[in-house]
Amino acid sequence: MAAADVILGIVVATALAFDFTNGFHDTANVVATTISTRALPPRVAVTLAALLNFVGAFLSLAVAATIAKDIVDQQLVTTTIVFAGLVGAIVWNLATWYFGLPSSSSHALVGGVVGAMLAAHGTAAVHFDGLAGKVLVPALIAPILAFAVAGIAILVCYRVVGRLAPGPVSRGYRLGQVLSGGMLALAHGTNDAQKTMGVITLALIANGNLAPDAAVPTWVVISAATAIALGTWLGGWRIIKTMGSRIIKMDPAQGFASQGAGAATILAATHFGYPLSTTHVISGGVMGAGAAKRLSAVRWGVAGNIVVAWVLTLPCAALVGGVVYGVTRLFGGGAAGPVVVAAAGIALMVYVFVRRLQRGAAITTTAEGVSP
Amino acid sequence: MSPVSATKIVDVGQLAQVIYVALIAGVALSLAFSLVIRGAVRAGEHRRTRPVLATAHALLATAGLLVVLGAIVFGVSVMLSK
Repeated sequence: MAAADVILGIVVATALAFDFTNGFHDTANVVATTISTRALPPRVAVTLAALLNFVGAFLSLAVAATIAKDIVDQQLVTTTIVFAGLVGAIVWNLATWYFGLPSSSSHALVGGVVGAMLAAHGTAAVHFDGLAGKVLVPALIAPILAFAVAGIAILVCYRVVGRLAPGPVSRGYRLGQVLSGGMLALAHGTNDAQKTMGVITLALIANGNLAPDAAVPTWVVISAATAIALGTWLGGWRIIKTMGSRIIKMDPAQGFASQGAGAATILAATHFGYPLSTTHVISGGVMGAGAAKRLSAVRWGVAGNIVVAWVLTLPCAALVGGVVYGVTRLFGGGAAGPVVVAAAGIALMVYVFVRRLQRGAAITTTAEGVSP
Repeated sequence: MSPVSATKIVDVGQLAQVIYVALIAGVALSLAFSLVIRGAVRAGEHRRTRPVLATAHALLATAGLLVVLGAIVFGVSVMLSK
């Protein structure tokens, strides 16, 4: 087997691993408020989210098969750079999961690829205006917009149902959460599984297995959909707990307002072709729904930690991506570098998972409101 | 960063559209669903004593539900068409 084929195999496997962590990490966006308000039992919520993520991955294949389009020079992207970028994103996803912090998987992937590009080709290969316009400005806009929309939405909800008996109102909003959560899960599957499909398709084109204008192969669609659905189904319970009960203690109306406002914001942005992170939108929505009721209802310390994680996502993923690219190149241009890094990465991931589950079992599986 | 370069990086018109459409859609969706709940609860309360009022509330709930279903269909169409 040629070295290029070995690297291709490693890139495909790493892309699917990233897709898995993406689903695992972002489950919270879809199910945290649903679980927190007991709209659905935890295991039912993540199973439904996983199924809708799977279906969502098949809804559209129209997103351009490019990585970090308009952010890095596409002509200079190689399979080794993609590999290093994916590892940077996976490491950041696992690190934020370890600390129970919601952060954007898409920004982590962009950060990883930018870091690897900087290490490989220097600053000339990175379009910093594209980085600002496609990543930094949306990262600033998304939580503020969702905060405002959810804040106004919850005030409207309270105004309309304020004098009604709380029992039927809570049941109604819980049903609404199932609908809005379903929309979010579909949108997440459509958006995020396509990134992995794009990465794998690009690697296949770069390796000569596909023509440059070829459609995404069916096995790529199915494997990407399966990886993100499996990750979603296993669920990042630590982040679910943070989003569902540590930022605010929410009632069903707040859960519906944050999720409904989040879904409306994401779909409005998608309609106009403006990239907003699902994580930033839902986190901002949860904070807005809490703050509109009472400012002190939001645990601002937890919210601050989340914002710090958002700020660190790009530079940290870039740092890991750059370092991984550098280490890979130490072994020359063949397959040895990716093989060594992939083996070390798998060992590290197994160690982190086992250690976290040993030390944090009470948080990950039996915490109040997030029991699977 | 000069204002010119900032404008080049950010499409202000597109951003403004996203902001006001998200605000209108998010608030309208919440309002519509809240009206479904209000209409359904009130219709149930008045079903035996004041049937006309109950019917009016049921119509309100139905109208709200149609708006919510329309929003869902529009959302799916956005996902399919992008």
